[in-house]
Amino acid sequence: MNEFNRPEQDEQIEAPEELIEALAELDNEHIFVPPSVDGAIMAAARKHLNAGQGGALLAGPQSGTPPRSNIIAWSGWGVAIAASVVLMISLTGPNPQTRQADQAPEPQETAELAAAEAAGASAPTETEAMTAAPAAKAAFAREDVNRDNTVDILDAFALARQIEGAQVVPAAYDFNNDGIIDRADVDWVARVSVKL
Amino acid sequence: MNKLVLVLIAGLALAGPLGAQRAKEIAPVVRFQAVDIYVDSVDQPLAAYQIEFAADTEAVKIVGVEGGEHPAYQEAPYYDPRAIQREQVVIAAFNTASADNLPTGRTRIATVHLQIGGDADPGFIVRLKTAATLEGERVPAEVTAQERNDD
Repeated sequence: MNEFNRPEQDEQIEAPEELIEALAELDNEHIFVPPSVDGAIMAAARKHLNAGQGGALLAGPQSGTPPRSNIIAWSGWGVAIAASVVLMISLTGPNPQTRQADQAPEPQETAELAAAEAAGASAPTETEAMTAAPAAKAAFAREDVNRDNTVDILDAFALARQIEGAQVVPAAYDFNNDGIIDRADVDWVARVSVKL
Repeated sequence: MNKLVLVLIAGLALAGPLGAQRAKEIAPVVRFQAVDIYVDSVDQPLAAYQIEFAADTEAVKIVGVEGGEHPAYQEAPYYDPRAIQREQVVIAAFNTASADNLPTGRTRIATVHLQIGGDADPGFIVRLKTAATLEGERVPAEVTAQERNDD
């Protein structure tokens, strides 16, 4: 154990006796609530909740016990709604790969733009950008740097060019999680691309 | 005593060649073969490639992969180490050097070293997955495999 972490042997925390006694008495102290107050609060709560729920959710001695079939029906609906919500989330929610891809679209787009400019092509029009947008939202593997739906050596090549071109490389491309995006990450993608 | 020693020596002298002959008959025949992989990118500088290589029999085991002839691809390419002792491998490499320093036309990009067991006369399947220019654009290229004949 580090000497700085070693507890002081002589150190004793002393609390005032009055505080100790008060804390000890705390458990024995009972707060009295008159039954009339308790009943009034419960009645108000029933009235409030039954007004919005048709009297089926909160039932007590005043409203009578609800039929068992009501409870079953409500619980059945609850299960069905919960199941459909879970299903919708699982079908429409982003998966991890999508999230990773969403974090890192810009550099490749800038690389493509730079390549297009180098080739003498004009910048994409707004219409072209809009038509390209759905493709950008598609799910890509994390290593699919050039977003062609295939992880191959061209992804490692694209990443290497981004790094060598001193472009801003998204943090999502730190594949080996060492805090630096460098040749090791390029090698990572290349190894994935040749994996059997 | 001397006769006994002579008989033992004579026996050993006869048994040696016979044992060696028998061992030669029992031991499996294994040979090693190098297969050169070529990519022809015609007039485009080859900045990246990825190929699949496979033998058509399990009698073939890959024992090594080395780089090609052009300086841009002399280093060993990327491949899965699990391909060693198997009959197929995916090989890939790239180079971000300028176009002047990249090969064009037909160039040997890698060599696969094989151990071939038995009397197998294997065939090889080589398929180009991708080849690209310096801009990352795919180029139509042809890949071929050729057994090296060191004789």
